[in-house]
Amino acid sequence: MTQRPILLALAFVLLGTVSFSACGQEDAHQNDYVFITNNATDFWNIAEAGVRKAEKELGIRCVMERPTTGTAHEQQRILENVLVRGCAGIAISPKDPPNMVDLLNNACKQTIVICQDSDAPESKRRVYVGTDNFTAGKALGTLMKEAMPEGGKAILFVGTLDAQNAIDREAGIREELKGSNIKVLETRLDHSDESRAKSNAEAIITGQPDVKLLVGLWAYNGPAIAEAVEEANKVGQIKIACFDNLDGTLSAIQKGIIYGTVAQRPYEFGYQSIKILHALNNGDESVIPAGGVVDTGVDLVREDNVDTYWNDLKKKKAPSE
Amino acid sequence: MRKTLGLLLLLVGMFALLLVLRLDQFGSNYNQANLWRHISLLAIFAIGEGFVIITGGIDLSVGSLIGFTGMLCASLMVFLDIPPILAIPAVLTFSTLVGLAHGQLITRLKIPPFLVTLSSMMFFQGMSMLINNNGRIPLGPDFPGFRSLGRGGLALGELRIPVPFLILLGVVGIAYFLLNRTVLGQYLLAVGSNEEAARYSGIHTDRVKRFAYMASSFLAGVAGILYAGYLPSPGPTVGQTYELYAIAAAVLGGCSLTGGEGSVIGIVIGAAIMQTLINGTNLLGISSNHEKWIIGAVILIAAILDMTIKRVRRPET
Repeated sequence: MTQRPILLALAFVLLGTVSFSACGQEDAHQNDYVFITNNATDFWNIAEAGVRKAEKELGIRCVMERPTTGTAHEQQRILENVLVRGCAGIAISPKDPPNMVDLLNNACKQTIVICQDSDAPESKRRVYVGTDNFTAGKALGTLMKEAMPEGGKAILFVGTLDAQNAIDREAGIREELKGSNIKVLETRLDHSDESRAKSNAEAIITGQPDVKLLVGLWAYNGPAIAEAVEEANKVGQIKIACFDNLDGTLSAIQKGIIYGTVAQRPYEFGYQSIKILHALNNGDESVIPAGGVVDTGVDLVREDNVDTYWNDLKKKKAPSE
Repeated sequence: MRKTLGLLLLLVGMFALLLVLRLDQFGSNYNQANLWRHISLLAIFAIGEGFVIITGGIDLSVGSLIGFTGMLCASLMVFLDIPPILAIPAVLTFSTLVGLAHGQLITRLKIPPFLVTLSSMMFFQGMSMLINNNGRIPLGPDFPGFRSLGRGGLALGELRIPVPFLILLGVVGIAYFLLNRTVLGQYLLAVGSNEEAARYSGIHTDRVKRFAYMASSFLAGVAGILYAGYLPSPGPTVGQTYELYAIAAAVLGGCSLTGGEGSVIGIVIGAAIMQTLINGTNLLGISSNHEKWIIGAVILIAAILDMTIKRVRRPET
């Protein structure tokens, strides 16, 4: 029982520290731009490099918010917290756009909201900055046809199918493959657990040996599939096409394990989102194109151009500009 | 003992069924290596969880600690250039100290284990997010030796024995010896079946409990390091909810949640049954969406069978 006062005192000190630091920061947040991602992968490191570049150029302050568990619920909580503490503008990659419309529209009443990476077209967001995921999905479909010209069975891998970018990419792939001899059997989900992403690939390699093409839709799927195929000694027999430009993906392309990848330009998501937010904040509406979509485009990376592409990417990631 | 035998029969039955239905796939060296890798990873930390459950406690922090220690080890190597040979013992020492902290809070301040390890679970989830600003830590091709701890295998003719399996053998050996051949093992069981009685008979029960939590956290650290080796870039989502699989494997393997009962071999078989279920449902072409409810149902059926058998054997209670 003698310990109780000590515990109480500890609790007060803790509470005090927390509320004190919160008070100190409250005002400072009003002028921040907040960049909210949809999970915690390395992919967002490159976007952050773009955010930081814009931050430096414009002399403003930006905050990165990355939901770890990758659930829509967690992202919603983060968004609510950001709104409570106030900010000058938000660039968000909504996890579950159809069910986030109200929340986004509410946010639009308080501050400038744009979508990046994944769009919520039904909401009142001002503009979408990012890959046109349907077009990018079609590009991945092209890579799939190149990788397996003789046709055959393919399986798609992705974290969840509630993000618009996953939905659009899948639709783009299916559109591009229409009339081709490639058949997509199913889409396997890993719920953003990388360990699960790898064991899903292992499972397909074992369980469905007639599948000759594995396709990753989210950034971490590429390296996870590549390792599973490499460990099964099936390099060359099983082809891989994937999305994004993680180091693991690019080195697997160099080694010939992955046929090719559709690389988005996350650096541009970060850089252009912040520039557009800042322009809108200063009343410049000219940054919004007709249709409300700023397509940042994609790069197709295969064995022949991977070295050049990677060098260029490293330059963008380098902190000193 | 009889229970372990029953579980072993169930596992053998599952293997036989899968071999009959999907011989080429289930029996392939690649699949067996993967299956036993996943069994071993789960069994290693489930044994730690089992020790805690045997003393009548619970450790909810296991999954988060796996994620955190994996990331901690990777970041020591990647960001601070500490060689794996030094980073690994540092991380294991750290995780054991976490267990000691759990034990101290539970035995000295008498905070319920559920609460202590729940806050620890959240704490280490949070710490994992902070390590690399919520990002993953790419290990890249620079640490082939370290990575082989998780993904490597010992070639034995055509067979590849996964490294985690070799480590599991060591863990099982030590844990079995501790639980069945030492006084400490007797104390663990005694504390779990009746703590008060154990204390009155002169057992330093607090020390025994602290040992259980340290073992659990230590083995979570071992598993964390192995998972970090298994993955191209360990990240903060790895390990989340794994403690529930560990609890399930331990309970399936014959540990009683009220304490005082449990066997190391049983836990390993419990882990093997769970992973074989996942592997098997996949090979049979059942969508992975069905996997969770199947596992839930199997655990419940095991619990019902267990209670029924106990009641039949001892109708007077």
